[in-house]
Amino acid sequence: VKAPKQTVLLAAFILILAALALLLWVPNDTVSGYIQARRGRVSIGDAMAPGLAFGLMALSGLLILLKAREPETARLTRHDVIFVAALILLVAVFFALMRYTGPLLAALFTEAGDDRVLHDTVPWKHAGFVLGGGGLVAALISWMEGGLSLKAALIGLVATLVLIGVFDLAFDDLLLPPNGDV
Amino acid sequence: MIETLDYIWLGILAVFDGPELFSLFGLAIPAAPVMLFLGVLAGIAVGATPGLAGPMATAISLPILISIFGFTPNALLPVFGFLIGIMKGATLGGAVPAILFNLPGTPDAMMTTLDGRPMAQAGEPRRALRIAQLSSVAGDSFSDLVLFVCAPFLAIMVEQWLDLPEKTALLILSISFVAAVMGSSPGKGIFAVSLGLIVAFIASGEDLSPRLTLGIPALRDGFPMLSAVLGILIVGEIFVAIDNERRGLSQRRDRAAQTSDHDGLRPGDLRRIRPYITQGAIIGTIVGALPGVAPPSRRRCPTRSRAGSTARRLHRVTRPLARARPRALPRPRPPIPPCPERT
Repeated sequence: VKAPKQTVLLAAFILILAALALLLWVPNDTVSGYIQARRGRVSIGDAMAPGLAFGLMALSGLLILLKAREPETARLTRHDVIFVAALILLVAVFFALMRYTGPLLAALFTEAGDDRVLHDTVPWKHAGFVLGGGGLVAALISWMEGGLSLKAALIGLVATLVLIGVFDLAFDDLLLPPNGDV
Repeated sequence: MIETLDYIWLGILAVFDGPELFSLFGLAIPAAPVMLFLGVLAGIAVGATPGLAGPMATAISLPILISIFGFTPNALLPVFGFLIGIMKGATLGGAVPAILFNLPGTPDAMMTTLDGRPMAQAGEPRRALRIAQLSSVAGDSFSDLVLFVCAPFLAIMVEQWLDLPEKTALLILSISFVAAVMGSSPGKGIFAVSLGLIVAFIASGEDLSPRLTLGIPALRDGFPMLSAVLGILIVGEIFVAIDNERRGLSQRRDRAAQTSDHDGLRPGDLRRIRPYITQGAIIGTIVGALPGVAPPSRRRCPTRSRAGSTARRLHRVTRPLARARPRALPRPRPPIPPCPERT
C-alpha cells in the first residue's frame, strides 16, 4: 500500500472512530449526557469532556487527511506489520503460559487439586510466573539475537527470580501475577 | 522576595529536619537527603544501562517506595527525594555509554553520541565524560534554582491572576505545543493527545455511575496510573528497541579507543564551554517551564529532543572541542537515521 493511501486509510479510521464514539459510545455510556438540565439550571454533563476529546480526535483525522498528499518520510511496511503481529503472538503465548501453568500443575499434582494453593504455596504460586515471565524474557532476547541460547534462558530465569525476591519475599500482602486473578 | 527566600529556607529545613532514617553516634540522620543520595546512585546505574531510563526506574521504584514508607505525610520527602535523585542520576548516567560505546543510555543522551563519542575515539573519553558531567550538573542545577526561586510566586500569581478562561487558554497552549513538537505531522500529535485525554476521562466523571467503561468491571476505577506509565513509557520503548536491534539500526558496540596521555579536563576547557552551558541552561529552563512539553525521554528522535537537554548542551559544548583536533578524529560516522513515523 502506498504511503498517501496509507495516510488516507489512517485518517478515515480515525474519523470513523471519532464519529462512532461521539454518536454512539459517549452518549450511551454516560448517565448525564453532553448537557444536563436540573431544575431549570443547565450544566455540562459527564459526556462533555470525552466528547471534546473525541472532537480533538476528529480534528486530528482531518489534519492527517489534509496532509495525505504531501510526501511522507516513512510508511508502514510489511515488515512492520509482521513484527507487530509476531510480537503480539509471542506475548500472548507466554501470558497464556503464565496464566494457566499454575492452575494446571496444581490440578494435576496437588491432593486437593484446586487453585487455593496458588496463593501461598511454593512452588505452585511461582510456576506460572517463572515459566511465562522468564520464558517471555528469554524468547525476546533469543528473537533479538536470532537464535535460542542458554544465556537468554538463564537471564530470563534470573530476572524472574529477582522479581520474586523483590515483590513476593519482601511483601506478604502482594500476589505475583497471575495469582491475584485466579 | 524575602517571603520567597523564607519559603526556600523552610523547604531546606523540612528536608534536613525531616523524619529520621537512623542515628549515627547519637546524631539523627534525616531520611530525605539519604534517599536522594541513594536515588542519584541508582539513577546513574540506570542511566548508564542502555534500554533503562529514568521514567522506567521511577515507575518500578514508586510502588516499592510506597510499600516501604507508606502513604503518610512523612513519606513524601524521602520518596520524592529518591525519585528526583533517580531522574537526575539517569540524566548524568546516560552520557556514559553514549560516550564510551556509542549507545545512548537514555534517549536524551542521543545527541551525546555525536560529539562525545568522537572525543572518546580520539583518545579523550575522560575529558568527554567530565564535560558531560559538568554541563549536566550545571544545566540541571540552574533550572532547579530557577524553579526554587520562581515556583512560590509563580504559583501564587497563577492562583491570583489566572481564572478559568486563562487556565483553559493555557491548556490549549499545552495541547498545541504537543502538536507543534510532533514535527512533520501535527495531526498525529493531536491524535496522541486525544487518546491520552480519553484514557484519563474513563471512569473519572461526576456521575454516580462511572463513564465510558463499556460495562467492563475492570475499568470501573479507570486506568491504573502504574499500568499507563509502564505501558506508555516502557513497553513502547522496549518494542522499538527490539525492532531497531533486529533491523540493525542500533550502533555497533565497539570499545573506546586507547586513552591519550592528555585525557581529562584542560585549563581552557571551562572558559570555552561556559557560554554554551549558559545558553543551553537558559533555553532548557524556558522550554522546560512551558506546560505540555514532555520530558526528552518521551521522544526517540535526537532531532526532537528538548532544546535544553543535557545531550544537546553537550553537543554544542563539545563541537568546538571536537573540531579542535580534526586530525585526531576518525572519519565521522553517518548520522543516526531519523526515526520513522509510525502509522
